[in-house]
Amino acid sequence: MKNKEQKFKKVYEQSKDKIHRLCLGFMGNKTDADDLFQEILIKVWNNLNTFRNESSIDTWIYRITTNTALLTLNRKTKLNKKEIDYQPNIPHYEIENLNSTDKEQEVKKLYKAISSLKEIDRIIIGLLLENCSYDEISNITGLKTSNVGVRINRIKKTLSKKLK
Amino acid sequence: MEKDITNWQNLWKEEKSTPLDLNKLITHLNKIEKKGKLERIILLAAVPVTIIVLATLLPILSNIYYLISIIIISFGMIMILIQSYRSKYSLISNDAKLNNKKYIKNIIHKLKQRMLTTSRYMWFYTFLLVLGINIGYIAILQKFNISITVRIIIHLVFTVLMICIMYYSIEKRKKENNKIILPLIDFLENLN
Repeated sequence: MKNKEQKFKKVYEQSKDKIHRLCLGFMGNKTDADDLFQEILIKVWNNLNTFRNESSIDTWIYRITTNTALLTLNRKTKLNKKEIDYQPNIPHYEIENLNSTDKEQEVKKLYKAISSLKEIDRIIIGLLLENCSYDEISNITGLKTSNVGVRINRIKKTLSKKLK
Repeated sequence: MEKDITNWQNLWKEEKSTPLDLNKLITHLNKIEKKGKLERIILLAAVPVTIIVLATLLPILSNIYYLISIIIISFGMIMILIQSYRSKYSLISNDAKLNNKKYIKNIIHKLKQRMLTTSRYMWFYTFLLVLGINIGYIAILQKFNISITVRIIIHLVFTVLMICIMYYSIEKRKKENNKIILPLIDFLENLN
């Protein structure tokens, strides 16, 4: 058990920011991203025994993150629909913070724009921004490398429009 | 466009995770793991424990009807438990092994299996349950001095009653599935 805990700590320290960013890009608000982050940590813990050192830790962690995100989104969308009747679910990045700097505003705008893309596109752009190669993205999403390239070009155009 | 990407990459990496109390988290994860293990053990032990309890309480080995009855019902229970186990617990190990496309396909398959458990396997289980209990009743009713007509009526009433109860519970579960599982399958199938 101690060995598992050590391994988990190592994976956590190495990947926490990457997971957090992908969650935020996927969910578009801090509350849901935090929930997803916790769910992913549980899955990382449960899957720790399946990780072999010879394979890339990043691919392993990205697969867990993106698979969990895809499954969680449906639940969250339904929950938000229910909550909206009595408690508006204000996305984190829609709250205007007067004290935030221009850069912070730009970061918020980027994450908000990404979270408005199609689900798989959110994953693709998130992975690209984490410096994953087309082959790695293909390996994680299951799309053909050529298809990844086509999609990335399309996502870039959409994002540029959204961020203007 | 490349400049855009570099710019977005810099902005993207500005976000950092909130620090967590890792030791507290690990303690919590250990608790969840133990709970999950216990649930699985209980689920796996349910059938043999039931059989052992019945074998101890009832004189099943001395009566061929009781024995056949228990075997048929146990077979039905095992079949349902295997189905439930397949669709629920085996999801865990696939999170890191499969890419998104295969994972989604796998989840859809498992969800459909769960739907099938309700629509098909539960009816098969009902059939085995009714058959098993009726065989058991043959032995019980033999002890009473009643005519064959009355015995047939008792069997029929019991069968209809069991089918009605099972029909109600299967339909209830079907409604729940239609509300929860069908939209999820629809959502996953439309991801592209």
